[in-house]
Amino acid sequence: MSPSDGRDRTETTIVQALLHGRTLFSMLMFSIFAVMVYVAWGYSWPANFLPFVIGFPGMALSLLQITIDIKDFMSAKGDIDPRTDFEKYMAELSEHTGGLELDYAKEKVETLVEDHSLVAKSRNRQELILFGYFFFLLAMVLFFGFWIGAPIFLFLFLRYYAKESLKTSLMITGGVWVSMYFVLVILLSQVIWEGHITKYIIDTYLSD
Amino acid sequence: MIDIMLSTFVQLLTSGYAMWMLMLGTCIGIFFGAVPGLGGRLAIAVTIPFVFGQPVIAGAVFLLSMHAVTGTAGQISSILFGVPGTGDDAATIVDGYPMAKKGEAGVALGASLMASGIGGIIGAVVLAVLIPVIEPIVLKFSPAEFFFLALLGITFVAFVSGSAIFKGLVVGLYGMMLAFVGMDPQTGIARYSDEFLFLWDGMDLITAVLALFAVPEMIHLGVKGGSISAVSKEMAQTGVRAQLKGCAITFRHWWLVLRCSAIGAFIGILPGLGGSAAAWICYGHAVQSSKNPETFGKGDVRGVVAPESATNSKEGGSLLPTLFFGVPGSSGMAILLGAWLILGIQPGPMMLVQELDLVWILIWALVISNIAAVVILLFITRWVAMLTFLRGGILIPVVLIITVLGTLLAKGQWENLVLLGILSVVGYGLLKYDWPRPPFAIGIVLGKIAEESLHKAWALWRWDFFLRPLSLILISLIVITIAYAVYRGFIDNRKRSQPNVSI
Repeated sequence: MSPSDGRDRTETTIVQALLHGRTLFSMLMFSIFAVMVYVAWGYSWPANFLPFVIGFPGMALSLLQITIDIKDFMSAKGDIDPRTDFEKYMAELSEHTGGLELDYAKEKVETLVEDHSLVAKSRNRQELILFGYFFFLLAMVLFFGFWIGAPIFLFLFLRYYAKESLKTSLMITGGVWVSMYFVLVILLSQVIWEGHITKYIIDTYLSD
Repeated sequence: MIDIMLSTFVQLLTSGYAMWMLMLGTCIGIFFGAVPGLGGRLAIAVTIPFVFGQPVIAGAVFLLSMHAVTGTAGQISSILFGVPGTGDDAATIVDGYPMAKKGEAGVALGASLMASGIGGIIGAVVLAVLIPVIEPIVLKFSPAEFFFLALLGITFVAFVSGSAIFKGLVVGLYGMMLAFVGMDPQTGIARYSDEFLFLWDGMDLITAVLALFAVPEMIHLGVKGGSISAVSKEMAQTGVRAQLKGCAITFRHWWLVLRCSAIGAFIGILPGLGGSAAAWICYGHAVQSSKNPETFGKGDVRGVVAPESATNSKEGGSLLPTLFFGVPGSSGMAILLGAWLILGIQPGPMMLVQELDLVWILIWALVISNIAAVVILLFITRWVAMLTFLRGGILIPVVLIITVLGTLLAKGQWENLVLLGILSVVGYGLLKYDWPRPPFAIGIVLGKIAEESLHKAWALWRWDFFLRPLSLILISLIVITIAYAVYRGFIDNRKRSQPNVSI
C-alpha cells in the first residue's frame, strides 16, 4: 500500500465521520450557537451581553464535541462496540450494583435483544413515518383547526399505523373527541384554534 | 412557626377545591407514572395549559402532587415486568423483579409503596426542618448572587450528564440561549424575534418543553416498538394481603428507610442530581451496609425499599433550591418552576417572607399526596398494572394530540405549532444521539432568571458585583465544578478508549 493510498483512506474516513448523523447533529448545535451569536452582533449593549457570554462557550463546547465525535468514529468506538447487547446491559447493571451476579437478567435481556433486532431494521423508516404523522397532525390543526384535524389524525394513525380494526379506531377516536370536547368546551369553556381554512370558510360563507 | 404550620394544614384540608385538585393530581400522576415511557416531566408538560386560570394554590398543589407521586406508581412495572416506569425506578428492578419471579410480587409492591410513601413524607419533613436554617442565608442573597447561582445551576448540569459532560453543558447553554429570545428588558430590542410578534414575550416555555420532552419520547416509543404486552398478564395479579405484608416488612427495615430517605432528600437539594442518582446511591448504600450483601440482586426486599424511599424523598429536598433560590433541583423541578412562574408564583427568597403560607401548603400537599398515592395504589395496583399493557400504537397519537392541544392552550397562538414542529426535530436529535435533555429545561428557566439578576446587579454595583464575598464563593464553586466535570470527562474518555473486558 502506497503512502497516498493510506492518506486517501484517512481522508475518506474523515469525510464519512463528518457525514455521520452523530457528527452532523453536533454541527447543527454548533451552527445554532454560531447563528445566534452572529445575530447578537447586531444588538447594542447590554442586549448582546448574555447571548455572547453563553453563545461563545456554546460554540467552543460544540466544536469540542464535533472533534470527540470524529475521534470516536475514526477509532470505530463510537458506534461499534464489540460487546453484545446482553454484555453491555450486564456491565451497566454491574457498575451500579458493584458487580453483583444477576441471574434473572439474562432471560430479560435476551427478550429485549430479540425485540430490538426486529425494530432496528426499520428504525430510520419508522422515524420518518412517525414524524410524517406528527407533521400531518400539525398541518391539519393549523389549517382545519383542532376539532377537525385532531380526530382525522387520530383515526388515520390508529387505523393505518397501529393497524387497529375499523371498529376500535372509530371507538377510540370518538371517545377521545367526545371526552376532550366535554372537558374543554363544555366544562372549561375554552376556545381552541379553529384553523386557517376553517376560519376562512366560516368568515366567508357562514357568517352573517 | 407552629401556628403557620397548623393553620396551613387546616386551610388545605378545608379547601374543597384545593383538595379536589390534589386528589386529581395524584390520580393523574399515578397514571403517568404507571405507563412506561411517560413520567413526571411529561405529566407536568402536558397539564400546564390546563391549570391556566386556576387559583394559584389549587394550580400549584395540583402540579406538585402529580409530580410527587409518579415515582410511587412507576415501580409497579419495574417490579412486575422488569420495565422501569420512569428512569428513577430502574434501581428497583434489580431486586423487585426477582422477587416477582419468586412469587413475591405483592410483598415487593407493598414494601415499595410503603417505602415510597414514608420517603415522600420524610422529604417534606427535611424541607420543613431546613426552612428556619436556610432563611438567614437565603435572605443575604442579592441579585449578584442569584446571577452566579443560576450559572452554578447550569454547571451542575455537567453532573447529570454522565460521561456526556460537554453535551450536557451544550444543551444547558442551548436552553439558556432560547431564554434570550424576545424583548430585551433593558433596551427594548426584540432579540431573535424581529417581526415575529408571537416571540416578543419570549419563547413559550410550554411549547419548548413539550417539543423537547413529549414529542421525542413518543417518536422514540414508536420506533422502539413500545409494547411490553408479551409479558404474561397473570404476573400482574397481586393480592392486597400480600401487599399489606410488604408494608409491614418496610417497618422492619425502618432504619434503612430513614437513612435512605435522608440521603435522598439531601441529594435532591443539590441542583442537577436527579432521582436516578438518589436511587442508585441508596441501593449501593443498602448493599454496602448489609451484613449479607450476597442476597442483593436475587430478590432482597431491602433492594426495593432503599431506592424507593430515596426517589420520593428527593422531591422534598429538590423543592428547597427551587422555591427559595429559584434554581431547580432537577429537570422535573425546572418544568415545575416554569409552570409556577406561569401561575404567578415567583420563587426566590421572598417566598420565605411573603409567601410562607404557600410554602407550607406545598409541604402539606407533598405529605398528603404521598399518603393518598399509597392508599390508592394499595387497592388498585392490579388494575393500574394493566396500564403497562397499553399499546404504544394507541398511546402515541393520544399524547401527540394532547401535546398539540397544550401548545395551543398555552398562549392561544397558532405560530407556536410551527415552533413545536421545529424544536421537536432538534429534541428528537438530542434523544437519538444521546444528548441529555434535562439540562435544557434547567437552562431555559435559569436563562431568564440569570438575565434579570444580572441587570439588577449591574444597576446596583457595576463591575463590583463580581467582588462581593458571596459572589466570589459562588464563582469559585463554578470554576471547581467545571474543572472537576472536565477532569471526570477525560477520565471517562480514557476508560472508554481502553479495550473492553468481557464480563
